[in-house]
Formats: sequence, structure tokens, C-alpha cells
Amino acid sequence: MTPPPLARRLLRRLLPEEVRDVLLGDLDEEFERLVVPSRSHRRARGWYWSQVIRSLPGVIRLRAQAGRRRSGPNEPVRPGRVLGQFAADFRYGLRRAMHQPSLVATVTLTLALGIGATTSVFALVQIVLLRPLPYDAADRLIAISEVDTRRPNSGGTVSYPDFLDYRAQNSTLVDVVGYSGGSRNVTGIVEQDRVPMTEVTDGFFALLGVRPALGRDFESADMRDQSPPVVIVTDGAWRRRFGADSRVIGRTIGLSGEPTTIVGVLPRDFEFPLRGLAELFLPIRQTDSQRGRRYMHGLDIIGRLRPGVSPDQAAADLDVIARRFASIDPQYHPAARASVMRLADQVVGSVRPILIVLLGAAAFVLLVACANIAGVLVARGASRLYEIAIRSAIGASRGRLIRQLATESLVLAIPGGVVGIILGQWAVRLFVTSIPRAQRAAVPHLTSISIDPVSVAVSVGLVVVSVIAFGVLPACQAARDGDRAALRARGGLDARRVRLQSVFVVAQLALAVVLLAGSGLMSRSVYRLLGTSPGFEPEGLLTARVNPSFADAPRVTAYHQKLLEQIRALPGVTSVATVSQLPLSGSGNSGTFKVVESAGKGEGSIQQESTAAIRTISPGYFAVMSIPVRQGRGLSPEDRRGQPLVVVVNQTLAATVFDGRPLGQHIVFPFFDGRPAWEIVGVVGDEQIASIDRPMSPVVYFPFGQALNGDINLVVRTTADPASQIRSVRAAAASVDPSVPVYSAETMASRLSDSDAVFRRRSVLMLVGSFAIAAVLLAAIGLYGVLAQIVSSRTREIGVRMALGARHAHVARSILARALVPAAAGLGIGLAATVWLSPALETLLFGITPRDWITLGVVSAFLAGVAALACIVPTRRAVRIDPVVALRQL
Amino acid sequence: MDYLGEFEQIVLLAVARLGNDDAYGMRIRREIEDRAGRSAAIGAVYATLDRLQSKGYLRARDDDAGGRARRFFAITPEGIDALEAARDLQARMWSGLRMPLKRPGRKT
Repeated sequence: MTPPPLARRLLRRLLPEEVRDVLLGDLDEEFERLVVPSRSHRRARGWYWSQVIRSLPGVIRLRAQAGRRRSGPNEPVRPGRVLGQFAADFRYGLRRAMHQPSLVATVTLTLALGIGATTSVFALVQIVLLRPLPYDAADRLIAISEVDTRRPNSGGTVSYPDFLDYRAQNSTLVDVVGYSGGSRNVTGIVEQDRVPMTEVTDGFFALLGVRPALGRDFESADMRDQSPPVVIVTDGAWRRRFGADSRVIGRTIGLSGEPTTIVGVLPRDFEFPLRGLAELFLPIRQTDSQRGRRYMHGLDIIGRLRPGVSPDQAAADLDVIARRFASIDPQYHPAARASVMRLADQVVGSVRPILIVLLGAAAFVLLVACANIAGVLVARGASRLYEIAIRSAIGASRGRLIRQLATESLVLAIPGGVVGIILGQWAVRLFVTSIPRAQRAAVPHLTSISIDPVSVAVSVGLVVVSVIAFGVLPACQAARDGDRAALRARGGLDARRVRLQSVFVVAQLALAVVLLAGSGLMSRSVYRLLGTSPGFEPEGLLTARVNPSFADAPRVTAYHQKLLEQIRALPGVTSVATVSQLPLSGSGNSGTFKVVESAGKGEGSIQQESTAAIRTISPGYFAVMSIPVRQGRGLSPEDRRGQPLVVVVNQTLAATVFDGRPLGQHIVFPFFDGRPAWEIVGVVGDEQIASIDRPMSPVVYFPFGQALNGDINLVVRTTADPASQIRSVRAAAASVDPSVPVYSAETMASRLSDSDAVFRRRSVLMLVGSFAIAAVLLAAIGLYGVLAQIVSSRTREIGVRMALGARHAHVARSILARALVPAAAGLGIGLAATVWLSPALETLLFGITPRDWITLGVVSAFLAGVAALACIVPTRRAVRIDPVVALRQL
Repeated sequence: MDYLGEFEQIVLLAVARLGNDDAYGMRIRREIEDRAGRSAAIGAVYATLDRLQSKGYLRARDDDAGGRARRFFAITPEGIDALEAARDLQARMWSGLRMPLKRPGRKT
């Protein structure tokens, strides 16, 4: 009977040598003599195992005591000694650094670039993605959306009755609240303006856990149809529009003509990125028709999970409620389904892929920087071999040498790290201010960006990691060399060192390829996006909004007509028209319609319904926008009240609903009182209504004369620069009615280039592009460094060859061959990595695939060119070596 | 002079009881188990022996008895002083206390 071998081996392995044999001997003796005879085999083995396992803490103590004895005779190690060593190394590193200003400058610049890039992007990630939304227990907030599987384009919003059902019937949520957007003409303040607002249901702020800083929250009494209108303003609006006057509570302002009392001011840190620009919050004062109109979708709803309830459970719960709608309202909710996502995901969902791409790109820059510095340090290690050898010879252990060299790397890293962190924090601010206001407001925390301790801590961590990355590897290499180098001549070329340096060059080139390819893909996407025809001519077009909010229709009509006349009369204006919503400004108003078969088959036989975007335009709209009329006619001034009701549709709608032959067909929209049928009299070319990177969608155009709309967007075609006409358009509008403000005056070209679709890609392009440039530069410097070193160490050899008759071309070829391998390897690995990684960019690309061979080809050619440039100087130096001078060095 | 920890005291006493010819790891462990009724792991015993040795309370002597390596321990005069000091300390703390000690919260 022997002890269990595994247990014994384990113990033997762990015990310090001094006690190993005696301890194991004692244990074996007891096992054999006392335990085995008295117990069964199994229990004896169990006893042995329990001894081994219970001995582990003692074994650890034994090892520690043994280690202490070894480190000095009976002298316990004090942390002070290690610290003292560190301080000495640090001072030594500092002294060395002072004598090598060029090295310090190189490392500082390179590292500052890498740390700066990473810090800035990480600061954004931390602020936007990691910091929770500024609400109470924000992780329990969910966004609920309702889609109808049988009604395409149903946008996820719900109707007021739907909302009430979700609120009353769910069993998983603390509460459900709703909101919807819009804007109001504000009067009764210094500068009247059109101001974005959000209408909310009762309990909205309570659900978010937000209390007004001044005044009160909405009460349920504020929500009734007949209750006096009240408004809560944001802190920003309070400061900007009301001079931060604390007596603002109780003051009455005009909101689109309705006197409204200010009852509250929101706290300074409040933000609601889903309606980021909103300055006013109004209660939804539901009317009877709102309560009844189940088809009128337009409310976004959010809920708060009860404690312990998961979003999935809530989704299942709400879906049951949504499925019931089919029996209550089969016409407009034939197949309603509810789904939920965390509110935070809804808020930052669209920026997350961008930030992750940027973070990856920044990490690559940092890696390139580290590889570059590591290359420099390896090269420098050669000149220190002698010193290391001496230190090693007088008793420095390998670990001690590595500690010393790593500490010196830390000294070198500190200035770069500090500059990088400052640069990064500064770059974040610069970047955030470059974001158009609307996009900035849609992202949480961006409006109040400040130095974030977490991101600074992470940056400091990055510096330390970089030191380990670029400092310790060369230190290990140098320490290992030191063992053998004592007998060797100083400064000679070590093939292994050059190989290691080449590895760093390969890594840098590969990383540069990935970054360059990424920015190449982005730039092609942006180029294609800007080259895509939006379906109209954006150049020379000025846009602006007015919203007369008059109660009576004749006044609106008269205002509209006069406005067009005044603007048309302006010098430099060739034509002008209006539209209820500008193209490229989001999907906006849409409606469901049905096709009514015309007389032949009997009125009222109804085909399947379809959804289309709805725009109300003035007669000249298509001409102003240069949208071609493909069939039938456009809309004319004759299409007004009292005349037959007509609409024009776009090509997409004509093709998808009517197989291209819509003329003479009648369609019915339920939201018009009396449900009249509209005849389709024309088909026009598609224009991009929502965003330039989406597919064309169906649109129905109503004539302004027959479908009045308070939202009036001017489109003005000018001969000169449209931006120069803004002032005169404002003046013309003021001459028609000074009480109606003109706002959002902007050229169509800048709308296009500031649009979310373009901006998202352009910002990624800018950042990744600058990262790529930095990476390419660093890689080129790295390649140059390796070659230059090879040339200088081979000077004598080359001299001998030339003296023996080698030609310049031969010498050049032999030098270039040394560059060829790392360059080719870097390109190859980089291309492979790009092919592997580029699908991550997919959502940001437009009109090209992630593996766009043209981009990859151009990038490879470019980098090959850069590599060739990096080779020129060292190669020239090699061929110009004078054999006489070189040989004299022998 | 350092005070002895409880387990150190037990180990030191076990060595003293066993005498110079019998005090090696396995016997010490057994002695503790038999006398104190307390199961001790061999690793813990050795760690404490090692520590007592570095404090100068024990001396060690390696011997090959019957082909098996054994390390015998013997208590030093300093070890005896330490044990006595520990006992004195206990005695001083006990003296004057009436036995049995009164338990709180129990009526007799």
C-alpha cells in the first residue's frame, strides 16, 4: 500500500527543498505504520489527501520563509528596499534621458500620439456608452415599440389608446409613459422663435426620476383637454431665453398663439437625448378624438421595469397586450406586436458601432506607437550591452536587470503619457464641438463634457501597459544578451536584434494597412454618398421654415400666397415653392391609404392598404427642386379647394402599388374627415425624403390648396450663393407678417453635408484617417530605422565588396532585399487582417462592400510606395560608401 | 522576546514532551493529535517548526534512521524561556480570578 501518487507528487512539487524529503518521509511513515493498518485503503488514501490539502497554507508559509532566508541572512524583505531600488533606477533613468534628448523626443511624440488617440476615443466611449443615462436606476428603463407585421413602415410608435392599454394592463412595469415631438412658435419673450418641444404624458418626469429644479412637475389636472395650458422649460432654455430669472415660474408666454403658464424649470443636468433639442415640455392634453383614434400612431413610449423583472419578461407581457389589439381594432392593428429594448440601447444604439470602430482604430495607433518605440529601444539596447554585461558580471540577476530597464522605459514614457492624456482630453472637446448641434443633442452626456476620472485612470493604465509592451520585451532581450555579451565587442550588429526590430516593423506596417484600408473604405463611402443623387438638385437651393399657426384656414392660405409672391419678387431668386417637410429630414409624416377601384368595378371595393410618406406642396415644388414629372402632370394652382381632389405620387409608389400605371386611380386616407377619394394625376421622379443612405420610399404629394398644412418649408432656387439670400428671405417674410418667425434657414448643400448619414461617416473618416496617417508615418520611420542600422553596421562589408568590384546596383539590391521581407510580410498580414476585420465597418459603408478590392489595391500600392521612400535614403547611403574610407575603418 | 502563538506553544510543548530522540515531524503531529485532541496538518506543523527554529527556540538535526530521512528537533534554552514566559503570563492573568468563572446571563 503506497500513498496516492498524485497527492504526493503535488506536495513534492510545492515544498521548498529544505524540508521536502523529511516532510514527505514523515508523512509516508505515518501513512504506512499507523494509518493503513487501522483503516480501509480508501479511507487511508483519503487521510493522505486531506493531509496534503490541509497542508497547503503551511506549505505556502514554508516557501515564504525559505525565500526570505535566501534573500538575506535572517533579514526579512522590507518593501522599502524594493522602493529604494525603484527610486535609484528612476533617478538613473532620468539622468540617462537628459543626455538623450532626441530619444526622449521620439518616444514622447510617438507615445503622445498613441495615448492621445486612445484616450480621446476612450473618453468618448466612457461618456457615451459606459456612463448610465442621467436618470434614477436607468438600467430599469425600457423603450417599448409596437410594430404591425401586416403594415409595412409602421414606425414603432403607438396610438394614445394603445398607450393607455399598455399602461393599464401590464403586470411587469412600474409605469408606462409616452412622449412625442414637435415645435412651437414662442412669443412673449425677447426674441420670438420657433422652439422644439416635447409633449409628454403624466408621470413622465417621475418615471425618469427627475424633479424640476424650480416650480413643479406636471399634475394629472394639467393633462385634461380643457385645463389651462402649462409648460416646463429646460435649464438651457431658462438661461438662454429667460435670462435665468427665478421669477419665471407663473409667467405666461405664447406658444403658437396659446397663452401658456411656465410652471417648472428642469435641473441643469437633465437631458433627454431622444428629443435632444427640445426646450419645452408640454403635457399631452388628450382630446376625445385622440382617445378614440386608435390608428393615429405617433407616441413613443417608455416604461420602468419592476424590480427583478427582465426586459424579456416585460416584452412577453406587453406582447400579449399588443396581440389583443387585433380583436379590438382589426382594421388598424391586424397583427400588432410589442417589443422592448433597454432605453440606453435605444439612445446610443446608433453611435455604438461608430465608437467601437474608432476605439479599435485608436488601439491600433497605440500598438503602432508601442511597436515603434520598442524598435527604437531594441536598437538602443545594442549600445548598452557592455553596461548590462558589467552589471550582470558583478551580480545583478536577470530579474533585477529587467526591473532596471523597465523603470528606465517608464521614465521615458512619462512625458509622452502626460502629453498624450492632455492631447486626448483636448481632442475630445474639439471633436465634440465639431459635431452638429442636432447630433450632439441626440447623444447623452455630450453637452456637458468634462475631464472624466475614469478615462484618465484608463489612460494612465494604458501608459503602464505600453511601457510593459515596448519596454520589457527589449529589456528581456538586452538582459539575455548581457549574459553572453561580456566577451563580445561593443556595438556590433546582432542578427537576432535586427530580426526583432524587423518584427516590430512588420507589426507596424500591418497595423497601418488596416487603418489605411479602413479610412479608404470610409472615404469611398463618403464620396459615393455625396455623389448619390438625392433625386433633386441640391445646389443653389435655400431652405427655411415658417409656421404661421393661424387658427383659420383662409388666413393660412393668404399668408402662404403672399409669402411666395414676396420671395419670388426678390432679386436673385428664380423660383420658390413650399413643402410640409423638407427632403433628407427624416421619414416624418406618413399615412396609410387604400386604393378604391374606380367606377367600373363599383365604388368601395377595396384593395390591400399601403403606407406612404405624405407631403403637402405648393404648385411649383417639382420645378424648383428639378424633380421630373414622369407621367401625367404636376400639381397646379388650379388644384384648390372646390376643385376635384388630386394627388401626385412618386415612381416608387407607382411601381410598388400600381405596377407603374397609377394615373386615374383613386386612393383614400382615413385621416381626412369624410374620407374623400383622391385621384392620382401624375407620377414624379423619386426624391430622397428621409436620409441619403436609405432606399427610396413611396411618397404621396398633396396640393397645398386642398390639404392645408401649418408646417411650411420654403425651398428657394437662387442664381447666386443661396446662403447670401437668407437675410432677404427673412425680410420678405417679415414684411408679410412680422409675428411669424423664419427659422432653420440653411442651404440644401449644407443640410446634406451635415446630415446624419454623411456626418457619421465623415467623422469616422476624419478620425480613422488621421490615425492612419500617423500609423503610416510611424511605420515608415520604423522601416527607415531598421534599414539605416543595417547599412551603418554593414559599412565595412559593403566597402570590401565595392573594392572587390561589386556594382552599385548589386549593393542597392542587397539592401533593398532586407527591406522587402518585412514590407511584404507587413502588407500581407495587414491585408489579411483587413479582410478579416472590415466587416465590422459594414453598417457605416455605403455603396461598396467591406472587402472592396479597389480600396485594398490602392492602399497596398500606397504603402508599398511609402516603404520604397523609406528605403531610399539608407540605400543611397550604402551605394555612396567610399571603399577607401570604409576599408580604413578595419 | 516574542510572545508565542497558541499553535507555536503547542508545537514547542510537544517537542519538549517527546525528548531529543523522538521529536521528529510525524511524532510531533501525533502527539498534538493525541494530547490536544486536535487534528493538525503536517504542512502546518512543519511551517511552525521552521518558524520556531528561525526564532531560535528549536534546534534541528538531520538523521538517516532506517534509510528514511528524519529531522529531529530539540528545544533550546531560549525555547524553554519562551515557554515559561508564556506560562507565567497565563498564570498572572489567571491569578485572583475566582473559579469557576461566572457566566453572564445565567441564573444559578
